[in-house]
Amino acid sequence: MAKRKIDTRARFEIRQERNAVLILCLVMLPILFIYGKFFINAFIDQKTGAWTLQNFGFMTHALTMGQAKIEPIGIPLRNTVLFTIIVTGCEVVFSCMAGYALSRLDFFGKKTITFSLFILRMFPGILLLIGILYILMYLHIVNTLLGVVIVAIALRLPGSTFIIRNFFVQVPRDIENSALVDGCNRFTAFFQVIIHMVKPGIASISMFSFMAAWSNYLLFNVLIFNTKTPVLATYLRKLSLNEQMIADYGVFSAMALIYMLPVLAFFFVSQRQLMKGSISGGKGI
Amino acid sequence: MTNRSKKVLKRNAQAYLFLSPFLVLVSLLYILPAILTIVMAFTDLDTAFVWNFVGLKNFIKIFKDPNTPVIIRNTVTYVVITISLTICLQLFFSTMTTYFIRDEKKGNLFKALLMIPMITPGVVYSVLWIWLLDASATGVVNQIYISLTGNDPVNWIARYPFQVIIFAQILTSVAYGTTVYSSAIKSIPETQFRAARVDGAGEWEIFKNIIVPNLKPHISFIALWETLGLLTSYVAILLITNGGPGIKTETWALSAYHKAFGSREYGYGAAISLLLILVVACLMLLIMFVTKQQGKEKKANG
Repeated sequence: MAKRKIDTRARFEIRQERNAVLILCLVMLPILFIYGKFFINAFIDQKTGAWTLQNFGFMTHALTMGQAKIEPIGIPLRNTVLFTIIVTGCEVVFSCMAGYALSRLDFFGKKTITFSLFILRMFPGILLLIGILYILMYLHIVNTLLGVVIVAIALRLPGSTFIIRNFFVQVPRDIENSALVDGCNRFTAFFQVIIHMVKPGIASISMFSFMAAWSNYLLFNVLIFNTKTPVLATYLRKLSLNEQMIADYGVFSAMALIYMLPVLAFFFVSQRQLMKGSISGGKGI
Repeated sequence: MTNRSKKVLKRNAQAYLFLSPFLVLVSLLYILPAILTIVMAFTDLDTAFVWNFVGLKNFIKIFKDPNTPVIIRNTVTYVVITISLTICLQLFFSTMTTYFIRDEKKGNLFKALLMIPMITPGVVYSVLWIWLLDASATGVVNQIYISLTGNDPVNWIARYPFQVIIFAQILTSVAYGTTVYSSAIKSIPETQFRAARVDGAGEWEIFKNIIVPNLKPHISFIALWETLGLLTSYVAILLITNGGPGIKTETWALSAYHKAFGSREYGYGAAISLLLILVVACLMLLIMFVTKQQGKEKKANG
C-alpha cells in the first residue's frame, strides 16, 4: 500500500513529509538525549569522570556505599524472572481458556459473566488493594512471592481475557466445526486448532503481561513488608531512596540498564505487534 | 435423565471447566475485596484487625479534614490539565506520523520512540526525572539553566512539583492514544483529503474539518479512559514526589494509599477508596454509554 502512495505523491507532499520528519526529530531528540545521558552514567566513575565498568560491581559482589550495603543482584534478579514467567504464563493460559469459553461455548450464565467481564476490565483493581491485603493475610500468603503472583495474575486477567475474547470471536466457526467433525473433542480442538488462529492475540497479551509483571512495583511495595523477597523493582527503589545513592547515579543507572535491557529487547522485537495489539484487541474501540 | 439434558449438562460442565481459573481468581481478588472495602469503610480497622463498626465516622472525618479540599483541587487540576495536554499532543503526533509522513516505516519509528517512556519501569522512570532535575549545580537541567541565566541552581522538583508530575505523566500516556488515532487516520479515505485540497483547503482546515471529526469517537473514548486511569493510578506521583512537598501533589487515590499503607488506617483508607470507586463507577457508566452509542452509529452507517 505504501508503495502505491509514494508513486502518486505530489512534490508538496514530499516536502511536507520532510518537514514533519524534521519537526518530530526536534521534538524527540531531547527525550533520546535524556535517556542516553542517563544511561551513560553507568559507564562513568562519578568521582573522577573516567570510563569504568566498576559501577556494575553489584552483579557479582556486595557493595558498600557510605553506611549502606548493597546486596548483589542475584536474588532480586532470580525473583523477578520467576515472577514474570509465572505471571505471564498463567495469565495467557487462563485468559485463553476463559476467552474461548466466553466466545465459543454456550452455557448457563454466559450473558452475566460476559457483562461482568466488560465491567471488570474497566475497573481499576488497585483501588481494592486494602481488601486484597486483608484476604492475603487471611490466607496467610501475605509477604510471600506466591501471594503477589496470584494478585498480579488476577488484577490483569479481566483485561487480557477481554482482548483475547475479541480475537476468538473473529475465528470462523466453521474451522472449529470441521475440527470437531474430524474427531477432535473440545479440548483437543482448542489446543490443536483454535489456539493457532489467535496467535497475534496471544502475542499481544503476553507482551503486555510481560511488561507489566517485569516492572511491577506497587504490588511488591504494598503486599510485602519485609525484605526477604526482593525483586528488581524494590531493589532499585531501595537504593534510590538512599542518600548516598542519589549522589552517585553511576551505580543506579548501571542497575537500571540491567533492569531495562529485557524490556528494551522485547520492545524492539515486538513493537509492531505492540502497536497492532493495542488497537485491534486493545482497551480501545 | 434424557439424552438431551445430559448433553446440556456436559456442555455446561465443559464451559465452566474452561472458566474456572478466571472465576476463582476474579471472585477471590475482585469481588471479595470489593465487598470487604465497602464493609471496611464503616469500621476503624487498623493493624490490630479488630472489626469495630463506627458508622459514618470515617466519612465525616474525610469531610472535616482541612486537607480534603486541597486534595480534591489537586486531583481535578492534575486530571484536567494532563488529559487536555495529552489529547492535544496525541493529535499532533498521530497527524504528524500518519497524515504528513506517508511512509509507514518512518511513521512507525517515531511512534515506537514515543513508546519508550511508557515501557520504562516506573522505578527507573522516576529516578530519571529526579536525576534530570537534581537540585545541585550538577543536575542536567540546572547546568543548562546556569549557563543560560547565570543564576543559582534551582530545586526544580521542590519548586514546581505539580508541573513536573504532569509533564512526566503526559510523556508516558501519549503513546497509547497516538497509536489509536493514527490507525483511525489511516482508515480515512485518501479521496477526502484530495477533494479538500482541490477545493483549496489548507492543511489546518483539513486537520480541523476532516481529521478531527473522523477521530471524534476515539477522542471521547480516550479522554474518558485516561481520566479513569489518572484518577486511580498514583504510581508515578508516589515515586517522584510521594505527594510532597507537604501535600502539594497529593491526589485522592494517593491519599487513600497513604492512609491505608502509610499510617495503616485501613478503615479510613477504605472509606477514601470507596468514594473514589463511586466516581469511577459513574465514569464507567459513561464509557459504556459512549461505546454503545458508537456501536449504534457503526451499525447505522453500514
